[in-house]
Amino acid sequence: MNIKNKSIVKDLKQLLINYLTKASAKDFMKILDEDISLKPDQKPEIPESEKLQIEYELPKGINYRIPVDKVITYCAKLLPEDKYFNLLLDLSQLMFFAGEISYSLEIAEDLLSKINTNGKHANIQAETVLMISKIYWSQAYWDDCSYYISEAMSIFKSIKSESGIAKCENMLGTLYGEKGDFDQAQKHLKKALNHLSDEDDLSARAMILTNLGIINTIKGDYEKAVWNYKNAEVKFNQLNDVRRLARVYHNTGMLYTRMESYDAALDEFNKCITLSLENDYLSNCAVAYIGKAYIYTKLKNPALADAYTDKAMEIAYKLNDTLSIADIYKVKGMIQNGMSNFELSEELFENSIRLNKDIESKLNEAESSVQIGELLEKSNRIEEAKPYLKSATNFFNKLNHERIKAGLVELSI
Amino acid sequence: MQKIAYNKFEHKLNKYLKEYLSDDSYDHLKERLDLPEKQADLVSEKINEFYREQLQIDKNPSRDRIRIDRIITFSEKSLPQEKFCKLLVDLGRICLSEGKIDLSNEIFRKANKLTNNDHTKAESLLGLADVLSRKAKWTKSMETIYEAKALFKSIPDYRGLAKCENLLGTIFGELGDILKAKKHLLTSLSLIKSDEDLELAANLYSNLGIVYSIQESPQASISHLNRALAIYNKLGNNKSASEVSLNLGIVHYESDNYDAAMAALNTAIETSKAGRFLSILCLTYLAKAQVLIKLDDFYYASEFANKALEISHNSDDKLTLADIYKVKGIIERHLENFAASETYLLNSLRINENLNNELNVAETSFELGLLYEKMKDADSKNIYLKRSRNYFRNIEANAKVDIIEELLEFSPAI
Repeated sequence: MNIKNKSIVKDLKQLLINYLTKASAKDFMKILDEDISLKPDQKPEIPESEKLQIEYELPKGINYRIPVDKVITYCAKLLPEDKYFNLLLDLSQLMFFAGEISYSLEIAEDLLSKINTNGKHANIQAETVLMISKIYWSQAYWDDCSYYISEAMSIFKSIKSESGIAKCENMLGTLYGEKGDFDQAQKHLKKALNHLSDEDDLSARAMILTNLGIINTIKGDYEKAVWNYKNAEVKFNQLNDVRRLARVYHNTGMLYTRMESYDAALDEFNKCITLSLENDYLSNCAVAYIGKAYIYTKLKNPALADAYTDKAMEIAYKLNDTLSIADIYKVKGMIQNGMSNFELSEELFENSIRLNKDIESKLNEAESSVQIGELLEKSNRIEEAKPYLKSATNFFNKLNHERIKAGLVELSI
Repeated sequence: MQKIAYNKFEHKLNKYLKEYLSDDSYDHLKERLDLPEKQADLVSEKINEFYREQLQIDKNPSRDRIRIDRIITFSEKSLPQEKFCKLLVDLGRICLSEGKIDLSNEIFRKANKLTNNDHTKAESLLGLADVLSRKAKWTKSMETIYEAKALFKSIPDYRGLAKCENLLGTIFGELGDILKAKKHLLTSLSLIKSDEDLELAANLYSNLGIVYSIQESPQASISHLNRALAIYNKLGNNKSASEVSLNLGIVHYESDNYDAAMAALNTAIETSKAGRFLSILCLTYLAKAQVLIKLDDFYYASEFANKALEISHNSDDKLTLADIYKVKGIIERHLENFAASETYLLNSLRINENLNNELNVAETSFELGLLYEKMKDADSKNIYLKRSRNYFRNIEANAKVDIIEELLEFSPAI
């Protein structure tokens, strides 16, 4: 237990005493004091090749905030309105990728309030609204995300911006994808492509292709997924868009993970992480770390897997990325299962399922349900395992393909 | 490592700026961006042990998240639904008081979605309103309070209504509408039995103490704050006690009693550090920076302001952040780094304007007026001082109005 956090621990314990029976509060407190990471003696030396990634120190947000605030204030006087608005949108994007989610939202909302009072600049207004939807999406606030996509869509429609409509359809596709409705997701992504003509908006096309790749991966259509990712990779390379290129590498890693080609998957995750760490694109890192941790559990290296989940947790917490947090609990559950700590493993799977239910992420819920179901079966608790396995099977049956082997968060764009 | 990370970011930012700005403007801005960082380097070397100890805090937020997740999952399995929802509301409150705004938002939302009980729903709405107010989303926050109020009224639950009025009072206070703030706080007080509901009564005395301070009635303010402090100490509520110590420090500071201010602030730092009350610690660092400015100790003032800035950014407390920029602007003005001072004060003004915080806009405008006087820019000085005077006149802060009038009359020949 971290004694420095004693104030909140004291409050939490008092709360449990107020609500639970004395005995169950006491039992649970004992569990609560145990660490969910491996004990120090179970942690061997981290290999040099992994050190850079595991010992990465998260940048301090304030080091971004001070210069960016100055730029915003100073440029308001210097730049014409159009240029200033575009700069603010770029800064909001920059902070989003850097993992400064609240600050990114603050800049976008500030920009929106300036545009609203002005009444002009419909295109940048719609782009800003779409940016806000993305910020909410990254935190699994689906209702807010959906609201802002509709707002952006209606503005783009009013100015007949086909590429804008395509971006909104792409965002709708990612939203449905996150919630596990892959048919709807695919429908919107295909609609998005139809709104783009051959020559325009390379970036939007590459984003849509990446997201189609994710859906094809999940549906087990690996050939199509490879084609999608290769296409997107070429385009992002052409555009020199390193942020999104890193995301394509991550998703390719996910594809190889599902195909159980773990070495190839590790290569792709490493490519994603190297690019992201070099540029402090924090928003890419957590998921790629989880991807590596998952593979290390499969390769029976719990110590490395554990180190990667710990780092992923630190980043996901900063990003308020609940979807990744739920996934981290699942991988941690797998690690503890491998170490025969069945009680803790079960609890961690339950955490994952509960969070996935809360954020309505059906695919991830099903995948964690499979994990807990198998764990319960192994412990001869067949009756308890049944409902978990049944709900997972129902979900995968609807998906109409064999059970997915790796259930981790893909990274939509 | 941090420095390298910052350099990478700086490189990216410069790339953007070159795209948008002309060469001249770019060079000028670059100069402004670099200047205060040089100062900060000098400051760090000068920090002494006592202050170093006061500035040292431990943060390990993801471990707390894990604990809280485990509690929620365990309780959801173990408790009947409505009891579980009540627990969520209490848990949300704990997270909120620890400055875990996003997590408390998630918890209050869950409680609100799950519960079928009007009282729990109203409490969860009140929690959400509190979250929104801390993110300075005033309109949404007030809408949510009115939703909660309607539910409390239908039960009827006067204590719940009193809590709504209290939150409305604090929001109007943050917006600088002191008269409305006072009205809501007094309404709240009238709805409770203050000798029975000690906690809420103490909250109200504390908030009224702040209102009296803004209205330039230090004696009334200190008396209300001491009343609140006595109750919190009796209840063993260290967090609120440290908050009151902070406010006492601010009132002493406003009354130019710097020794008393320093003593109260040191008490607040000690208790909020021990309990890890980061939001209070942040405000106390800021207040301490202000006292240190009055004592001409700009180096330490800068160190405390920087630490406060780091905490406020991490907890997404925009209102405090804007205040810290103001204090940093004042420090730079004293050090005669006028360009840096102007940028910080304009930062503060911009953020306060975005948040519709009239009181802070007026205070920052006042500081800008003082800066432009030093820079011998009479036009800008008059614009900002007049803007400030108009606000203080509206809230009947007459002493402040007199000071501004005097400054406006004094226009030295250049």
